[in-house]
Amino acid sequence: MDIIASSLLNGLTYGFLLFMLAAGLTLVFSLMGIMNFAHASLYMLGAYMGYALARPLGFATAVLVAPLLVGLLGCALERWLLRPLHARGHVAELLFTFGLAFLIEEAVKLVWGAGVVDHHFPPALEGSLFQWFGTPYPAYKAFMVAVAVAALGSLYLLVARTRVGLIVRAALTHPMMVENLGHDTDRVFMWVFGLGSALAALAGVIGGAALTTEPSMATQLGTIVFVVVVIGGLGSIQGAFLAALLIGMLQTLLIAVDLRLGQAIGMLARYAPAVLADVKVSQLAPIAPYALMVAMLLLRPRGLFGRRDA
Amino acid sequence: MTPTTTLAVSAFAAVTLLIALLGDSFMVQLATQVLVLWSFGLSYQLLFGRTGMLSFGHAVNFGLAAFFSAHAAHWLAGWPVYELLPLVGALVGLICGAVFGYPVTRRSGVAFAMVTLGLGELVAACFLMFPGFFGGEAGVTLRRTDVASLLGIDYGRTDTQLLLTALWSLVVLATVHWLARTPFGMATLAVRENPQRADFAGFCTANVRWASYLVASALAGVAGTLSALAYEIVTVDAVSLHTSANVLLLTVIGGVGSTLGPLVGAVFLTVMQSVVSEWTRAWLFYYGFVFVAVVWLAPEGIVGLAKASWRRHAHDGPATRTMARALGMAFLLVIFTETAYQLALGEPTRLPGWQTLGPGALQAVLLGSGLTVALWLARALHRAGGMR
Repeated sequence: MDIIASSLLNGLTYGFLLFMLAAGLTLVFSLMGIMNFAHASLYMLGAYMGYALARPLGFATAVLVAPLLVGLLGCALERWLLRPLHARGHVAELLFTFGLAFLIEEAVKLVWGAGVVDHHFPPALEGSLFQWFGTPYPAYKAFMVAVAVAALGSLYLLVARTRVGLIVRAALTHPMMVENLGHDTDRVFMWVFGLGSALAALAGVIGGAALTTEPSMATQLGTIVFVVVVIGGLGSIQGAFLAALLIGMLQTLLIAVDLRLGQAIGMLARYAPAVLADVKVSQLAPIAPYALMVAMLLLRPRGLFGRRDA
Repeated sequence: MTPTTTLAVSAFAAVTLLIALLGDSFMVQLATQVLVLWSFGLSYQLLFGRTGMLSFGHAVNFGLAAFFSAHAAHWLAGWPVYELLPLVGALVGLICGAVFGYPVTRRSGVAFAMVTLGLGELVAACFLMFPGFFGGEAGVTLRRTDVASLLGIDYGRTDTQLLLTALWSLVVLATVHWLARTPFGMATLAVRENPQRADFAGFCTANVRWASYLVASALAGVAGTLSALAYEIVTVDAVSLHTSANVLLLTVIGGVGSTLGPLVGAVFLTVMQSVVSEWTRAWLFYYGFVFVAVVWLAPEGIVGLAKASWRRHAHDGPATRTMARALGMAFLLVIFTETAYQLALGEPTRLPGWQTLGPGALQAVLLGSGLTVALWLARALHRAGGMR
């Protein structure tokens, strides 16, 4: 029971981290049709910037400044590099962002080395906050959830309640009409891209401290975020939210199970080949999101909340 | 065969023979590597260039075929079937294409790209679960001499292996060439250019994509076997995203438009991997930079660029100035990156000629000019984009 409870809580934290990435990715995709391969690289850049800034300025400042810097970088990226490519279609953009992800990873290795850097939460956050079924819940995980909820909540308020959000929502469905009404949609796109980058970087600062900060972190999390977006349905924020929590919980639950597959499926094990029965359930954790994605493709190609078969 | 094709094939055969007969073992190794990558790139060209499917998981077919071939070499020990081993790879590729290809080809465009990425990760993540098949971290080894040759040739030597690889890559080339001229090849073009209209014309676009994926997987399987035989070892790297990315990068850098493109890309990647990596640790950075520059400035790749400048050459004189400018910029980029690396790592690069450039003062000047040029380059890039 306590294992399940603590896994569920951990899954919640991880799911929120995934959603912070998936939200920006989905928003940018539904606005501009760009599937930004370098999104996870911006997450990594956020983690490294947080690491670099936390030393001289302290962790709190790093949490605020690193997303700002990466957000501005995202704006510049959209304005100078992606916008001129737009006329050439989505495949060119996808290729370009893929190359960019490759370059950013090499550049990070160049500046900070290929190993893991020592990026941690300050000691104040390392203690335990409360006991949950006998297991202590570390304060930094609560901090992660709080930051994620605050960021996503203000994003929601921005999009749903303000005038700027009104223009963004209008540009989602009727970009030409919004342009005709005198709004500069290109600029709106640029700021949304920057916002998505800043969100990814924020996830990076806290995610890098909770997990590890290393050059392979972008590919590790990036592919899972893509899976989240596909399962949730391309361009659907609600879908991405549900899928992120689902995958977060599924992965942490599977890791916690200390059984072999043969024991887990009990009676059925007699019919399973020995190779499969010997596999540990926890080894299924890295595969689970992808298996879920393939199953989703076969049963419901548009994803949980997707509106069309893209 | 047209005279041009005959000429090209005989030139290819002559160069391969020359390398096999006269080259030292390093040259022969490099040539084999180029040919393996070329076959792999050709299969990717069929997938991406001709059917418009941008796959980030093509290494699955390549890698699984390589693993199965390595195991097949053990099972078939003593049988005189060595020359036919790539057929095992083709079969494995075909099965992979049938099983994995069906779900992924239901989608197209961006969704297809993301789904293949997930598929690649799915297979790569399996390697810890099945250590018997994937051989764990160490991989699976084989010996070429275990399987007897059909023609009585000794494949323990590298030069005979090079000739066999060349033969099989010609088979792959012929398949791609022949397919392009069939009605099916035309259908793939239609599905790439305008899926909606192809749908109206009566093609099931998903099934055309699936068929193309099947052939590309089988050809990638041949390349996988060739790689397993050439290196006599297969590790999990063969199915990983790294290999998928490599084939994508080399095909795009060379040019997706022609069968020559993957060859140019394969030569480029091999030179970077084997020669430039000895000089500098930044070679992957340059490789990525060339890719990004090609996507930005020359979507048709190096071959497309060469063709275009050849045509322009015939029209309005040489483009020497553009060439000189590009070379100068590349030179400054290299100086800038190398200096940055040296400052970050505190370890001198072994780039030829770097030592004679002199000590820190000169490098500081170069760093400054490199920065200026990088800014100027960004502006020029932007302006070029604006004109387009």
